[in-house]
Amino acid sequence: MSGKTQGLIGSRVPKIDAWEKVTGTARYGHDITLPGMLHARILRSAHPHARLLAIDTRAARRVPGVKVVLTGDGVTCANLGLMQDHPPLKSGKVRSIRDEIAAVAATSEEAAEEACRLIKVQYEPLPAVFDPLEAMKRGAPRIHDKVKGNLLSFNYRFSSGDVDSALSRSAHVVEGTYTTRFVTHACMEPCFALASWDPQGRLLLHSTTQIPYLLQGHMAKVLGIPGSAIRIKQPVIGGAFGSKLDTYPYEVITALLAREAGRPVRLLYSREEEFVCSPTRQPMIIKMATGCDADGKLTARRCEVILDNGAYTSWGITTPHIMLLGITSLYRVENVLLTAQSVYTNNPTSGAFRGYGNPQGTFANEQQMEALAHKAGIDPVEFRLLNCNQPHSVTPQKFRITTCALRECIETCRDSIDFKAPKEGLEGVGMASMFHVAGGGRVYKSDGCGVIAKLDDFARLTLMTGATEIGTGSDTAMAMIAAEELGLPVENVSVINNDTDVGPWDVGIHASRTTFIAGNATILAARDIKAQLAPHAAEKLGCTEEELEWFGGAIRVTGDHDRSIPIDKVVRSLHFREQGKMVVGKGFYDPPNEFQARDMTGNVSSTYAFATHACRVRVDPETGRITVLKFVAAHDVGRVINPLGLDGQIEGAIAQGLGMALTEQVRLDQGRMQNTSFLDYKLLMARDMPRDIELHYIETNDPEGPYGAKGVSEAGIIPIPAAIANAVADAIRVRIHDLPLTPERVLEAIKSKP
Amino acid sequence: MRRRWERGKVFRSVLPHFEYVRPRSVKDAIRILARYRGEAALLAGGTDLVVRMKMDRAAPRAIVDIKRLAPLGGPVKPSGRSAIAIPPLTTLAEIASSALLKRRLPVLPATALLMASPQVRNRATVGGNLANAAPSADMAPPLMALGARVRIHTRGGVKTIPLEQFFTGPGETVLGVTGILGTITVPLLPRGARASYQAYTVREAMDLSIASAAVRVQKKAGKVVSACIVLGAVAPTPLRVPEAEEALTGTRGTAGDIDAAAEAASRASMPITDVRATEGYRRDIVRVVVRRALSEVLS
Repeated sequence: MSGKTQGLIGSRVPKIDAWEKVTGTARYGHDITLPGMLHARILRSAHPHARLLAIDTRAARRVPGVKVVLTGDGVTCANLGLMQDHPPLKSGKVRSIRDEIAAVAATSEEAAEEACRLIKVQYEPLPAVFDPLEAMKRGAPRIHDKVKGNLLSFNYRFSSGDVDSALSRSAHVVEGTYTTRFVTHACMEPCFALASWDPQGRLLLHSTTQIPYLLQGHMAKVLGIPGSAIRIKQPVIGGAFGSKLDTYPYEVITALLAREAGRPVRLLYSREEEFVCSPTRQPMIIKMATGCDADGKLTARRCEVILDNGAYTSWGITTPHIMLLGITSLYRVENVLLTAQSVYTNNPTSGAFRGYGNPQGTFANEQQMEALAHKAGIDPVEFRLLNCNQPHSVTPQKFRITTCALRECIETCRDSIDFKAPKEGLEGVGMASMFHVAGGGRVYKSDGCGVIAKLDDFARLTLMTGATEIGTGSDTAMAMIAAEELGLPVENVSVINNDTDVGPWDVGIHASRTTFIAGNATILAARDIKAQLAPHAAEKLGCTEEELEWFGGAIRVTGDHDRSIPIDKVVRSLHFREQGKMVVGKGFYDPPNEFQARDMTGNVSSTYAFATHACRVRVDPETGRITVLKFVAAHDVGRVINPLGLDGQIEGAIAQGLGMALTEQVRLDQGRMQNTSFLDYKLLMARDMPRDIELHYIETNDPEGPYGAKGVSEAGIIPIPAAIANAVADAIRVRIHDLPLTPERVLEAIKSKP
Repeated sequence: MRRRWERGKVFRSVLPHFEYVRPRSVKDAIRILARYRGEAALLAGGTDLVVRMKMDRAAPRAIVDIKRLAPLGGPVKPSGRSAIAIPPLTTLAEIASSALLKRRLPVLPATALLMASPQVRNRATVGGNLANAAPSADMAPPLMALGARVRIHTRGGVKTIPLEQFFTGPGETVLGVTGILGTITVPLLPRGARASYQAYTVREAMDLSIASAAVRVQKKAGKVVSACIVLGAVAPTPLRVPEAEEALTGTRGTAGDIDAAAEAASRASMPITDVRATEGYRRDIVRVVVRRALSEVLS
């Protein structure tokens, strides 16, 4: 089937959920109330590490309105997390200050809060450890009784070639240690869960999760009930960025309270609780060495990473998969040795956050590229071009790169930022590139997504899917793709993706995968519908199926547009007759990618994204404050589906990435967060953004992508801390290895200059 | 070994229980404050109080709403020929947009515009900013540098004191338990005098100063005849630094003179290390903000 298309792909389409969000009619979790609903509160630990000797809940139970009080000893449920080390309600021991000791459900928020305050606890404080390097030492306090040396058994090693000999034979070598801090997502909407059980014992859990179907499975395991007895519904989600990628104690606790109470129970974090108790980006200590030959060709790289896992294991422990991918495969380097070790501490638990370890790895990688170029006496941009990846190549980790515009990205940034322009005062320019998964990421047995498409008698197309929308614009992309395939206006398409009883399976929204995977599944479902309609349309129009053109809500004959029939008329003619039929299309797409083997090789994504960022900064020599004067981002996006959505993704990533680079850090004192408000957790704001932002999209038309598109949603944040650090080093002639580059740290670096 | 019972941490989503009182007059308000013996809090804009209550840092038994007390409100207007009277309930937005202030004391509208966000400025009051007595309160240094005087309503009657004598510690003022801040009277700048306020923040908006400086300098025949320099966020209270003022007075106000004053101010400051900055960095920033403020008025 061919013919003229509507040209929707690449046009600027406002998000289909924009109206309800802008007018305030979108229904978020806290907008939902159920009859008889109770309110939950959680009591958390007073100590970062302590034995729990006794809990006295008698006074709490006497508070009027209190229906249920739960403690860890009063419930039987399995542990959460990848290492199954995380009890939803703690008993025996607490390991961080966010640890859940008790929970209350009451008829009002006030009663639930008051009851929690009345619970008394006897603790035996234990020595605690907050630095992963200290936690690894002999004699350090043991956080989990069975885990020696606080070392997680889930660790990483990748080796290719002979690194030691290659480094010793290199003409130039740079070495350094780079550190990054805890950063938090600061979603606009705090964590929320609403649980209710029906009379047959089936759980309905409203959750802002990114993984509805995995959540269904996790809850089944933890509660000891069949997965079929669990239904997950998602309200409109007010930001996620990876923070809702796991199943958390609060979701289990809400379900337990509701079961005990026999009434619906809602839990909503306060803003302070969101800061203290939601997941974080894992801090890393990255020790790296990179060598090149006399001509500037990379010879070898060695990299040892220590990750602060926090007290329990969430996805943080798996981030080396993605971090190492940038370190081995952004540039061509044959000899590579990488190790990564996660360590338990009494700090907050590390989770998933946009970029998944790659911003941290790239912070080290791209600073070394710049430093090595200077050492070798080669222009850093030329140095990158000399070593950059090529289309149709295979990296040492056996990633099969197909389309690749890294060279074009670097050249675009070089030409836009003008590295040679004269500088006033402490001005500097810097660049960094990135490599990331862009065609799914096989971290689970299935990387697939299903779509059911229903075309009704009024030409309304409903896409039912498990693919979650967390603000990335994936719903709009799916609607555009379906509309383009079937020749419908975008306004005719609905996306229903908030209910595990309705949508087919999806592994979750992560790895920049949704527009890519769900987009491909949408194409398959739409083409299924076309295949059902085409014979009837061709018969009515008196042409072959190949001659049909799908355009403007009608099916018509290519080259003879007077011969046309409205698409809904074809649907009705199939439906409203004896032995009639419905028009429902199905699509399930699971990309051609591979699980990584134990040796960390395997083509984990079906295509890869490349990008380069460059910036010009000015440093105030008296205060150390950095002003970003100009920011240029060039991305190999495969193909632009919706330029409006793409601009939003990249600009948003710049805001978030500059925060990570310049100001954001969870400040901990003995495991306790000190800056628990937007005043002191310094997200950057509109007025802090560079006045001059330039976005460039390079279209490589990826053969596997929907209409050639690659995933882009994480790519934008990954190079930013490195690009800023390089520009600052250019400005002040001192290289800073620790994030964030706060004014105080920059001023210290300026003063440290001989 | 006997173990003691402790609590845990419960994050607050709802305000703690409190009684709400709306007094009929300033005298009535003072009587109510006395009755609650320090367990009542005054509510004007609420932008500090309500946030503190939500974060469990304040739990007053009663909230005394003074928003509608006429003697504390009304427009910003001239007070005699050489001063301007600012009622304490004047919002920061009103300070920022007052035509009279913009013409005669532009440093005050400029300061108000540095603070918070438009939404918060619509509610927050200048009286609240002063009476809350945060060491970093932005309105205090410029008002002090301008020589403002404040009216104090107490059980014993009404008196007027220099703003300089108002602050007694972080979160503490001469108002004590029962006093209420009244009209703020700010003298106009004498001939040859200029004022500036420089606040250093990490972000461009919605931030508190790491350190700030307000200066008022009067020159005659090319020489500095009087100077008032007040620092913010680097001492338990807004801090006037006579050492820096003396360093500048009598000089021609050259770059070298300014540096000497900035250095003296930095030495006289008493900053602490907290989550926002270290003591050392704050001292560095004092030098910068004093130099920038003085350079502006002496250029």
